Amino acid sequence: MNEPASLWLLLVQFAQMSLVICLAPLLTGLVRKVKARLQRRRGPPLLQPYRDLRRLMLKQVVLAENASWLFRVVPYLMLSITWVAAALVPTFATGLMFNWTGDLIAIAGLLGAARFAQALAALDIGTSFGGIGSSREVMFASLAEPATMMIILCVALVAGSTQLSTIADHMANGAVGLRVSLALALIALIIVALAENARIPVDNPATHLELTMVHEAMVLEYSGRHLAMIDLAAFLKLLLYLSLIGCIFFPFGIAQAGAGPEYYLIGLAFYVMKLMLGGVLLGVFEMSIAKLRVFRVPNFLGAGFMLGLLGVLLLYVSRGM
Amino acid sequence: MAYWANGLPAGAALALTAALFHVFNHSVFKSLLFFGSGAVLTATGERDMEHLGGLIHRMPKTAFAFLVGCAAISALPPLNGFVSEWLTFQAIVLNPDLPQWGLKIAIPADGALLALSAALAAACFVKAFGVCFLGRPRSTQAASAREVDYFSLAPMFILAAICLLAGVLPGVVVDSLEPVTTSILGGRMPTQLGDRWLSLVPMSAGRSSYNGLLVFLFITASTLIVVFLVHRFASNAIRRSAAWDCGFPDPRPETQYTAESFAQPIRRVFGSVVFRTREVVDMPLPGDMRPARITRFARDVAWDGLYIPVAAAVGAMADWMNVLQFLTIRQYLAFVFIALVALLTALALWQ
Amino acid sequence: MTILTALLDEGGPIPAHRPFPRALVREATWQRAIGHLASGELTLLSVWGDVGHVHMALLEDEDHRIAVLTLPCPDGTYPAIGQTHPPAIRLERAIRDLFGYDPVGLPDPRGWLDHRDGTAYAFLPVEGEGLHQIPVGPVHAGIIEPGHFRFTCDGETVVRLEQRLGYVHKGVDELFSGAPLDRAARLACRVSGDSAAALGLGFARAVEAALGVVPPPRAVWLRALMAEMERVANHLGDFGAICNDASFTIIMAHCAVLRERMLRAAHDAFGHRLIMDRIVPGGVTMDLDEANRTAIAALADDVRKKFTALTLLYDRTASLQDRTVTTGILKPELARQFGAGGYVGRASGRAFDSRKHPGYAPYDSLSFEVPVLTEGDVNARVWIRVREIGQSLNLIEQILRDMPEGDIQTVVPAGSGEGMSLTETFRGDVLVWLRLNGGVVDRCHVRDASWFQWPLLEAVIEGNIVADFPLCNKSFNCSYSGHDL
Repeated sequence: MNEPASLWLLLVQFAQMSLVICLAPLLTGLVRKVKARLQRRRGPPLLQPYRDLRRLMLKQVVLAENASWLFRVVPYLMLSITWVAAALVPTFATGLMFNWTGDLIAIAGLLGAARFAQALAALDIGTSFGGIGSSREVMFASLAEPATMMIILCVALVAGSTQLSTIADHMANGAVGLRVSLALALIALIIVALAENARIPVDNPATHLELTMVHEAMVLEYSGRHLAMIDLAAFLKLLLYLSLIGCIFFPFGIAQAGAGPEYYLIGLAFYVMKLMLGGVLLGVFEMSIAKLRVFRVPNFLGAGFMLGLLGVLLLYVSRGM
Repeated sequence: MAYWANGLPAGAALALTAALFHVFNHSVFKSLLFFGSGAVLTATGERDMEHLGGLIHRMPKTAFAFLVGCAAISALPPLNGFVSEWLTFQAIVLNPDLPQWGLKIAIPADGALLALSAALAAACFVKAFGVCFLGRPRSTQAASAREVDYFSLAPMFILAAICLLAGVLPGVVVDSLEPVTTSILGGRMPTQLGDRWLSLVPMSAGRSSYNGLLVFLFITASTLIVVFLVHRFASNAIRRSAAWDCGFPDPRPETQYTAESFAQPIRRVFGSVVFRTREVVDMPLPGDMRPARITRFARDVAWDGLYIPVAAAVGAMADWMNVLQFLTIRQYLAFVFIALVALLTALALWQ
Repeated sequence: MTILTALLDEGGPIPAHRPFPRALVREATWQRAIGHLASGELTLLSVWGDVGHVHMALLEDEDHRIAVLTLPCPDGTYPAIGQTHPPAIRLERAIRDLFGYDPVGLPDPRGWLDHRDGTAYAFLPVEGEGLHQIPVGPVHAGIIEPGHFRFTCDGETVVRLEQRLGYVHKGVDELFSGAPLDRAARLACRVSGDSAAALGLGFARAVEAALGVVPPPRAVWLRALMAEMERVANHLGDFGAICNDASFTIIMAHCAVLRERMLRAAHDAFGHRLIMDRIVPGGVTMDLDEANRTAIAALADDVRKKFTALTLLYDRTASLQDRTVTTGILKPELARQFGAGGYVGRASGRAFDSRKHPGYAPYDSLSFEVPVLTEGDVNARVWIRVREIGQSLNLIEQILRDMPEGDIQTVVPAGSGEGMSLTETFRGDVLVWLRLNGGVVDRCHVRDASWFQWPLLEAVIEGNIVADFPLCNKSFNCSYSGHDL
């Protein structure tokens, strides 16, 4: 690795880190816009999430009297951990400087750490809404994580690696073809992504009903800049999952390691298009389904797990015979 | 062991290392958590979680060390628990190299169970830390707890530091486990410390790698950036006020979640099969002043599963076939799972 | 001889009370009436305080006969109905708070509308280990009225739910006393803003009964038109809101459009979106012109078409059905015991509709059906609303077609007397009782349908989890304002 090349890679890596954090609110704005249009509403402007973040950032924080240091530290941790996780996913280019610091499992672990922090912060004030959100969240997580692991296993078996850059390169090279296993893994990943991002049918990000909330119940006591950071982390997480789906299952157009700047630009254009498509599809899907009962969510996630497992077993069968 | 038997020394070394790393980790954070529990017991004289709460204000140092232990046992990066879980998964990903069908199928199921147990551990320790240390005190003992002395704190902090170090520099631990794997298996994992960036590379760099140090530095760096940006550009104003809690902040400790309640969703999802838990709610009609009541029943699966069926098997068989038509999706999924595993195992044996 | 006539015969009749008979009774008769209530032969319509007296209005289910019994309570005490008949408890707690009369034997010693005890209010006990309480409200995250719900739960399982209401107490009873008719009519419309037209109608009918005034026929038909338009608008809003609570927003979006068009049509025709202050004693204040007549007819037709499509969407969305079917079941016995009106009662087998029984003009000359289901779940309450929207649209068309010509108002003399009416709002039957003295209101009692629906909401949560409560609550959609007075 000679110096200019690694400097270039470093530059691309930082470009990606700033890209994800800049694009994330826009993606959420797009999903909200799509949903609003489908409801025959005009909807807030696409840039509204940025304005919301700015407004929250400039507001005074109102902190509960018995909030501990943990409550104040968690928003920073959530945002930074989610940001690191998002930076590890190849978005428009593979083979980035730090891609090899962590693989798919590490990304899942980082998101788990952010969730752990949030679930704890929810219990800090000692209100029952925090408890509701927290206990539902860990219940969902206990089912989503095995499903995630099955998906990772399935993908890793196809690509021979858990390293996202390697997986994306492998998938992009077209040698994979259409595989039933991968289709199953894709559906399973979508199920997990819906649950992890607190979307309908698992949670409703737009609800005002405290008793039905999961994510919103956990952040009910947050305000001002703390809330802004948590919101931004949630935006980032949505972007992360869409990028993950894009880079594993639809890696076309992604720039490969060592490609010239023009390929990076093409990769970027493809990436933005993929995100837009993902955002629109998410909006349409959310409009077409009601929220599940809380105790039907395990079935939903269980289906995700089963699909992942089926994918793995099918791979064995197709290879074994 | 399976890897070894099949002449895959690298895989075997990886699996054994993962296992040993795991044992090492457990010895560290379990001790840490026991020390922490001991400190809480000393400070409050309470064993029952339902009487604790809010200790983070009274015992901040113990709380911090205990928190590190909780995060480590929940296999969260960048701590040590995650590294051994990660290594185990890497061993699992290798499993298609195995020729035996039975093992091929058993190992991914293992992986799922491992993920499940990690997630359940996280749930359990969110509950433990949340109920003991966070929230409001549920008893006067908890409200008047005192931080323990430095002799008690020191070992906790040392163990917490080991959790972090072993997570950030896993290569050191892996290399120090090398003599064991060599003596047992005659094979070893690649030496880790030679890597320029101190990455953990179990097989080859293209396949998978994990760098605890960089992840840790990344998190630190991005936290610093976030802190800097937020405090440079955002409002720093802060005001203490009563908790929001929908306009009715009731100061009574009953209005916060209990350990029992926190675990109820998980108990309902898993417990209906494992412990056959049942809840009976006696809810008085509107206007009736008598107390409402909930009674829980948990039955031992071993008793029900082994003895009673033998007695009732003959009569139950006919009914049982009918029941199959009225199961929940979850139970059907379990059946699909069991059937698939059984079929494929049969296939493997037959071949 | 029916039970009610027997009870009435035991007391002294009061001829000034119209149209239903009222009798001044002794304690023994009062106690006997309580016995009949407890055994389920009679249904309690309301119980309220007056100067030196308490009144109870009773309905005999057999023949839909209605009567009022009055018990003097010179020493400020009277035998509590709530002792054996729970539906009366909250009304009697309100009497104790507002009039200071002590219902002897009432099991619940706590205040109800009076909030001076603040946070010291003792919620009912729950036994069991590791339970926690969820205090919800009075300030909610949505734009809804204030009310406090106290859940005691084991995780997601609700062991007890208790409501605490009274946050929007406005002193309506006191404001009525001494008010001239025009101001009282305006006040009646504002008891619960969403049923302004029907409450105005109820007040006007009570006044007309007390004074023996007969409004002109065209006014009577116009009143029905206003009430039915209000019913359609509210049911449309509820239908959408229930779906929205299951996070199925698309139905709400379309319902909101339809509801808005109905409100605008009301504004164009009657000058007020919620049709407030248009129904007054003696008639209505605005006539319907030809342009608005055709506009409303066209709107009714259009709403029917669009709403049918929405109903199909509701029926065919499996994920939505999964939320509403078997959620929040109200047992028919409870609905009957509490005399629950409107969609709450009709979804649980109680067919009572005050437009049919005792009935009032012009509904006797219109053809419509009262839908009844027996499942008692959220889905049943949705379907009752859906069918009622269809029936109301039919009614609107009939009214527009057959409405007689003529005057819309008659002169109301400044007389004295006692009047009572039972009027169907979209929620159920509202009872208005008043005593006029020389053209001003001496005492007026408005009992909203919500009084007998709120307590049932506490019961339907049994067997449901915390997260399903908002759906149950929305399917009841009780009025806070109408209850807190």
